[in-house]
Amino acid sequence: MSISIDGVTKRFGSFTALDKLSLEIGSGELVALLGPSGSGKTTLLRIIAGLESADDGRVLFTGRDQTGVGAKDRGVGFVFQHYALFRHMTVAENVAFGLTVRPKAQRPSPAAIQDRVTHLLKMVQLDWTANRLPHQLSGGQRQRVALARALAVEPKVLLLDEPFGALDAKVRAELRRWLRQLHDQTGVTTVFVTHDQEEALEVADRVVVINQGRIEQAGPPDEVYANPATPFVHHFLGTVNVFHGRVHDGLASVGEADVTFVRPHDVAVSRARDEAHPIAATVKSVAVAGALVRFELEREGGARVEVLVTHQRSRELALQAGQQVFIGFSEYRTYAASTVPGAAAEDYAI
Amino acid sequence: MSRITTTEPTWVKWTLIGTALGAMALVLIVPLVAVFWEGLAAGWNVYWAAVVDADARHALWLTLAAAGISLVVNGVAGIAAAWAIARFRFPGRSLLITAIELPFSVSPVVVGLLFVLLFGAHGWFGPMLAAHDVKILFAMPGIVLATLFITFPFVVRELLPVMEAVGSEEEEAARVLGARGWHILWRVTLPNVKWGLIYGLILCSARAIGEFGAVSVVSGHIRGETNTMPLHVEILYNDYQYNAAFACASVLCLTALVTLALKAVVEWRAERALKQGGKTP
Repeated sequence: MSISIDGVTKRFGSFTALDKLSLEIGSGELVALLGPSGSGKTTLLRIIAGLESADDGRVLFTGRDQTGVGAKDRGVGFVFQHYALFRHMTVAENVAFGLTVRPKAQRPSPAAIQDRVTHLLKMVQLDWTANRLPHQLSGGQRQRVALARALAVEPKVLLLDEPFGALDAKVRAELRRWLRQLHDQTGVTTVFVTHDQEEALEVADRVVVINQGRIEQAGPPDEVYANPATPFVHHFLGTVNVFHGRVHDGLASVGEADVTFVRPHDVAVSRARDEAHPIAATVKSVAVAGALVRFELEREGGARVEVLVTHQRSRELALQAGQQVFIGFSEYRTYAASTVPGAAAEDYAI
Repeated sequence: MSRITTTEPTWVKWTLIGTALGAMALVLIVPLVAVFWEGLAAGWNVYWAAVVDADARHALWLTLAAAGISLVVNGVAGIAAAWAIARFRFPGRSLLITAIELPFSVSPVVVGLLFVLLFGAHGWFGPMLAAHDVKILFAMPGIVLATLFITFPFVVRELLPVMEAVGSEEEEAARVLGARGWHILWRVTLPNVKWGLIYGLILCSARAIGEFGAVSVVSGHIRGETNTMPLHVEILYNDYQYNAAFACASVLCLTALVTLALKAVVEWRAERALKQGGKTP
């Protein structure tokens, strides 16, 4: 089922959570709503679910207006950040809930419900927990139960609100891959909210970056990452080094009303000054950051530059704190200073 | 291992415990024993006669009926009020919370007078009620109204913090899964606040059974008709029927002890439920 969001506005008092936001989500798509906290992404998800109502605008499911349709009649599955499992019911009762509350005429027989619950719990690899209470499970297991519960009613749309936000890094990575697999199996239209850009880029078919109640950019992960449409998106999707000024032929010029963003892995470091490495800097620290090595450099005047290189390159350079190096940019983007949000203001003049 | 520096000498500890226990015995245990002692002082037959006396039986029935009605009405109203306050932000919300506590801060006698002012012969609604031959004052409706008023805060006060702690996510989850309002109430909301509700109801019934001041003003003290058990005790005492008065008082004490036991059981079970992870994760 496709979802159309048509000029949706939502205010909480004087705060505008969503500002005439429009978005098309195709049938069977897996979309990530990505944004900082307070950007309106969760509000948008709740409006799609019918848990909040829009002040203005409409939500349509395959062309049918959902205004006035309550959450219980929308046929969506919703997964909450903190699982929201019914704490006094067993895992099996939780998963069965959506089926047992149906009006008699539409309710499957107890045996059919039992079958469906077993099937779903097998699918999330938790059939052995059927008779346990939620508090006896780990966070990751609870979230999988919550997913099974949401899928039990065969929703046409699956909505997930920061589904892995409360879990530790390893479980989170596991569940991400698992969600992707699940989506490929079931093909149900899925929208999930996250503030974790890695999660969004890794899992989704399409990433929608939201800021201050508006869409900054929507597109496939590689496109959004490689061609950020706005300074906000560039800044939000990973670390950037921010320079005031414009780059000419690899040489930075000062004082223009422009801002240049350079990702840490796009900074080239050399021990000798040449055309590709024109800017002088001092090494402040060298630290291993997982698969890469991170250099903290300081330019004259105190501006700091973060650089990521491979372990191999780090060995070649053999840098130590206090050493002088020269840097250049292999990739960068320049924006007019007026478009750069305040978040990027902890920046450095070239 | 280092010594815990806040540990007091043993004699301090036992002096404090002794003082607390002594005070409790003096203020609580001795009077309680005295009630039963005095009630049984003239022998078992006198005690039994006082308890099964027609007026006493009627008073007990009236007390339990008023308590029962309060339990049902305040239970339902308390759930509704606590739910509305916990789930919604609306203008006048904090005023409502204060208003609900009003019966705690107003003297029960004043509450009784308030009902006289409203429903008495010269009260606001008095003439209208008289015209339609409806009796509220000096009749059972007045007693029930006064008891309802006095005991209203208990359920709300116990439920509100529990509901706020539980949050609304489970209710939302149920709604998205297609549950209707009743289903959500019976299968999600109430099971989650069960122990708070039961605890509130126990406190409510204990207070309803023991209520004296407000009921005393509105009842009119008609023997065998509008006397509740506490009023009956007072009348017997004023009639110099000490043994009968204490016998009836001991019946009230017994109901109090039963509620106390129930309350202890509920607290114990609620604590166990909490330990089993009833808490929000």
